[in-house]
Amino acid sequence: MAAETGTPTTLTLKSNDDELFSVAESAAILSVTIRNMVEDGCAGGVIPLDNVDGKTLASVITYMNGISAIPADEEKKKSYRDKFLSDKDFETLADMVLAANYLNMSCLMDAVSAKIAQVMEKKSVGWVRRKFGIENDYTPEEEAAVKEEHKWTFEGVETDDDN
Amino acid sequence: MHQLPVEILEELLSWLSVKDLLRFKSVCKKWNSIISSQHFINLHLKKSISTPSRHRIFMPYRETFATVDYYGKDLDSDRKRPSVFMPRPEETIGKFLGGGTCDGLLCYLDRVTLRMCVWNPALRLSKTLDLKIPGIVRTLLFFWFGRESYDDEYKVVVGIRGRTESRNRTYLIKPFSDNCVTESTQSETDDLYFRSFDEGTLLRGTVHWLTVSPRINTVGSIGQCAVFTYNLGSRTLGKLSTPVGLDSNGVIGVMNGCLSAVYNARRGGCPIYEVWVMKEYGVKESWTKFMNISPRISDRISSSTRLKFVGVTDKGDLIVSCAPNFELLIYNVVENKSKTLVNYGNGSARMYVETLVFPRFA
Repeated sequence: MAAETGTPTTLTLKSNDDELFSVAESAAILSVTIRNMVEDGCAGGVIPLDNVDGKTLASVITYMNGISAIPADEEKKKSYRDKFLSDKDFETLADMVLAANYLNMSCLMDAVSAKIAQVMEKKSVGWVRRKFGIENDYTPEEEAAVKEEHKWTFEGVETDDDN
Repeated sequence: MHQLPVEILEELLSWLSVKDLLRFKSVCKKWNSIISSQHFINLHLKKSISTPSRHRIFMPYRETFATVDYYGKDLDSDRKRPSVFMPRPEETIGKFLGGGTCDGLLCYLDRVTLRMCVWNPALRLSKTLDLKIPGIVRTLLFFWFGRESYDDEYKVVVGIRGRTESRNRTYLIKPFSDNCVTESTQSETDDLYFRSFDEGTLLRGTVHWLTVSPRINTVGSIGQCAVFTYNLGSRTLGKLSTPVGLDSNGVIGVMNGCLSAVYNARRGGCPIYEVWVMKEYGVKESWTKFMNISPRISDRISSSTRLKFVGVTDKGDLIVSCAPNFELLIYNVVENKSKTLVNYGNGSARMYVETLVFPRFA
């Protein structure tokens, strides 16, 4: 690895829609998946990331560069993560959780999961079905029974047209 | 949006609150089965315990309870009182004695009938069962509820004394498997006094209770303290010394992985609370003074105040309850400053996590 010679090494990452990205190795190895490839010597040419699209990969690389520029200060890293995720919509967050899982980046995975959970707080069942693209497979009777069992959890829920 | 693989969905859901999760059982059958599964319940439990921001303070009142986070979000901001009070199950009120918190469960025991109530406030579920302990007329001396690790069973340790007996008897019960009772008898007939509000402190597989001997000690003062121990593995009883000077107003706990004790080291006048830790477990000489808590941290603290550590915040500040006015303070050790978190607190406030855990009864 070039770190020993002092020259920063750059890796080329390829998204599943064939976009190419250059990123400093020191930032890219935040991903355990990429680090393993580098350590195994399979990072010579282009690293194909078959499960991540260009838009999401661009975001992840912004995160990699941003977080690796911060010295070991958990407080500052946390506030960077909060700021980084603050303007992301639900679909982007869902794509990022898949990417973070595939790239094996636990810090991003935790931050995105926590952010999604925060967005889902007090949301209606209808909202969740819509955002997750879930078909309601309950019969009306079954659904009424499940709701009845946990009736109190529907108090204080954000109003939603098709709850 | 593409369907998320089950493992990722579980990971996402493990960050949600119990209330949100119970509601989302209505989303679809798959979500219901994930949220109801033992695997997910454990995943959510571990995530909740290891995430300090999800720890809350549980405060029982006479017939109600409240839980608040230590950022003060759930408080009525002017009066610093909890904004929501929920009713307590009947089986936890009055003659029922609180015996600790574990995994979001609270356990209460009827002092006379030894009927036990296990309660998960977040699920709003409670259930009772009778502990099959021989003898009828007896006094409940102490008890503890919990488990040592995630793969361990829940256990109850009960200390009782029959009316005509001279010795304490200690029982270990696994209430949710066989409800079978194992007895350990105290070898010495030492007359120990247990305080009823001491829930026991688990450390190194051993439960610890502070006891006071009613006998007059060598210095001529009454109330020599000792720590009574019960080892869950070997089921043996034992005794550990306390720092010299600790009296019946002292409180034991765990700090930095060591047995700790807090007590007012000055009688009368302005109190000085000393915090001691037993650096080497079981070694009397290793009791070391860890810090002093200056009385200046709050003008509410007087010589009759009993300080009790409730827990530690994610920033390392101590959460302290002050009896008898029952105020909860957040104490910043470095700056030696405190602020009032809850004005309408309670002496048995304890740290608590909301979980989906509810034991299956055999």
